Amino acid sequence: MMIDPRTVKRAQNGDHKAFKRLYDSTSLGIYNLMLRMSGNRETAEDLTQEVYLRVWRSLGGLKSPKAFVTWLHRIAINVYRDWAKSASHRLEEMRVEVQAQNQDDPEDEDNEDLDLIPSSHPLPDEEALRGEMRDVIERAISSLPEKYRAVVIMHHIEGLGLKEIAKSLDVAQGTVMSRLARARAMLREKLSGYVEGD
Amino acid sequence: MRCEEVREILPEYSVGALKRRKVRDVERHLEICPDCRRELAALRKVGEMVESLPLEKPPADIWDSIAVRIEAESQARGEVLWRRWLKPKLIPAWATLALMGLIAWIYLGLIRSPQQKTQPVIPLELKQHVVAAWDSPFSDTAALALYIGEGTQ
Amino acid sequence: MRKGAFIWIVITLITMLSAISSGGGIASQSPESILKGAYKAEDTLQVHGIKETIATLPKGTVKVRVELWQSNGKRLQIYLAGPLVGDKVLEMKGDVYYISPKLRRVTVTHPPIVPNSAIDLMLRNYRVERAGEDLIAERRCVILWIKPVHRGNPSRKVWIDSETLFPLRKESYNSNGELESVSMFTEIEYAPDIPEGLFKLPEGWMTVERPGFKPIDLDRDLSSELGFKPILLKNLPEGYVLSGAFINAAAPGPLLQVKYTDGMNQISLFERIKVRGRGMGMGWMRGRGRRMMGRKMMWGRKACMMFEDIGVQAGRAVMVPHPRLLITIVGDVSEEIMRHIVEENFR
Repeated sequence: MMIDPRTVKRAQNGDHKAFKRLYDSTSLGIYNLMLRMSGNRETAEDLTQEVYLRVWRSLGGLKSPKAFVTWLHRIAINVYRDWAKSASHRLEEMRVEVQAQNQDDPEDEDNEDLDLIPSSHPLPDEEALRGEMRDVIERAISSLPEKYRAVVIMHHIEGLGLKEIAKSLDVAQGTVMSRLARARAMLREKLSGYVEGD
Repeated sequence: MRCEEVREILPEYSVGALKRRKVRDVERHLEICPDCRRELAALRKVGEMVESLPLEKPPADIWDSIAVRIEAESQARGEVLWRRWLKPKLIPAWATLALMGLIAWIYLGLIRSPQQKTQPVIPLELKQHVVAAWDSPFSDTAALALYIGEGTQ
Repeated sequence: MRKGAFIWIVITLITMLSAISSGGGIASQSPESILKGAYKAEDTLQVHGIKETIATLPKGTVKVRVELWQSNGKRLQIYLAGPLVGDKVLEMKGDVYYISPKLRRVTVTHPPIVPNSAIDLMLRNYRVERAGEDLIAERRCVILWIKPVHRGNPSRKVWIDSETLFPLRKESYNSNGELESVSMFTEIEYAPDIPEGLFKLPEGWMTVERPGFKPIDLDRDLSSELGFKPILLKNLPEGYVLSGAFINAAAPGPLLQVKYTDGMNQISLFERIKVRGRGMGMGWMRGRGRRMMGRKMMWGRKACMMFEDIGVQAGRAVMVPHPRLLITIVGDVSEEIMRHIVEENFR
């Protein structure tokens, strides 16, 4: 996501066209982030909308236009967390709370108390050929605890760098790396039938 | 290093999270252990598999919904505020417009941190109140029905 | 005179007369009369259309698309997209039927009917201003702003079809001036052919009655029915009048609702007996630790709890402390008005 800070500044001044340009440059990533986090297209649409509305409303508070992308992602993660915590989400979807099983999770002291919510349904597959494969990968990703899911999506699907992810989540780069590592380990287990080269 | 030890930190190795010394130890082990090499390949394949997921295009009407709201909000804020604070007769039109824009921009610039809208089961009083407004002039019953719809019991 | 010429003269006269009686078009009508016409047209015209609504509920933005049929005082809305997709809402004779094909169930609600004089009351408390013209669903519309005379009340903006006076787009702004919902017709057809059996209820499905609005007379002694003597609002915010009172007998302990209106907006006063042993009785926060964020307000030396942004057309809720009763005031009015209500009525 390459953003021209001048476009950000113009949007900050209330320029709707500039804001649309920001939306066009970033919505693919944000939409897919919300999609893979929630596992549901309709929810992803709503959350994406909410993200950009919050961005528009608080754009004036962004001191450094160069930091737009990480700031945007921070808002996106918050929008997702707000939704995940809301009871209406609980009413609508079956929730299974999964405790993280990593004993050597260096963040045990964090106690963020984030609900670990696997997605309710995987996305329907459209490509018949690679359909089953996609399904499996998607299900594996959605079964990851939220903390791990976020970094996997941002790094492997959106293509964000480790530094950007760290800034967006407000954690150290090392934390991002260890979350990615743990996520890989978990995914490797879930996808064991498909990754082995023997 | 033994296989179990290496396996434990192999994921960290695969993402480049290990310190130089540990990296050397792991690599030394990998030179002689085909099983661990296979495991590393598997870990790397996981990354590739996730990256192979195609990006989906967001539907066009997401932007429409956003545009509608920001247009209306900008207008409403601009109008409501300037009406309260300005006496139009004393100020020429261009200045009024400029001032409107300035006020709207300032208002938008004041960060109102988005309040967490945590709402549990919709309380009975709220439902009752909203449904009682069913017949009020120019209300939107399509939206009000959300309070009597099945999903909101 | 020849018969042909006579007929032409008659036709011309009739055409001229109808042109005059139609008031010379919408351009010369006052905004108030346009609004009155729209109010009537909204409920009485025979229409078929597709309407989209975007609304802010506490859980977030909700988008809904309905197919709307209206004829002879009946209205059917079929949900085409959004959370209620597949369901239908049928309104007939003041009753609202929520039809769920998924559950093969019909839920009946009887919301209180607003008398037609509401529009006159509304015009005393809201001023109507023209705000230009626009095209909605390819129809020329005149735009009207409905703004409160008394500060702290909500606003509406309506786009009204210049020809038929049917409202084609509505924007609802809450008492903070924030946009809460937009509903707009993307397609509209006037005087359509109504398919047979469109407004019929499905037969043989389970029917659930939603009690909730049994009207009661506040002048008589209600203590036996309610279990308590109701406290009514004596000092109302400017523009508001008492519009009705209802008992919801199905609530855990009978719930009294007293409705006050200014013609467009409603404030509800709810009262019921506090169930023993539940502490302060700030009821909305119970239930497995799910909390609704409220603010403690010290008004008139009473510690009230205020909940904001509780939903579309709902506004705020304030719980007023009372030894025996759970008293809640709900309405889309400003914090200032809410405080005024509490301080003037609950000393």
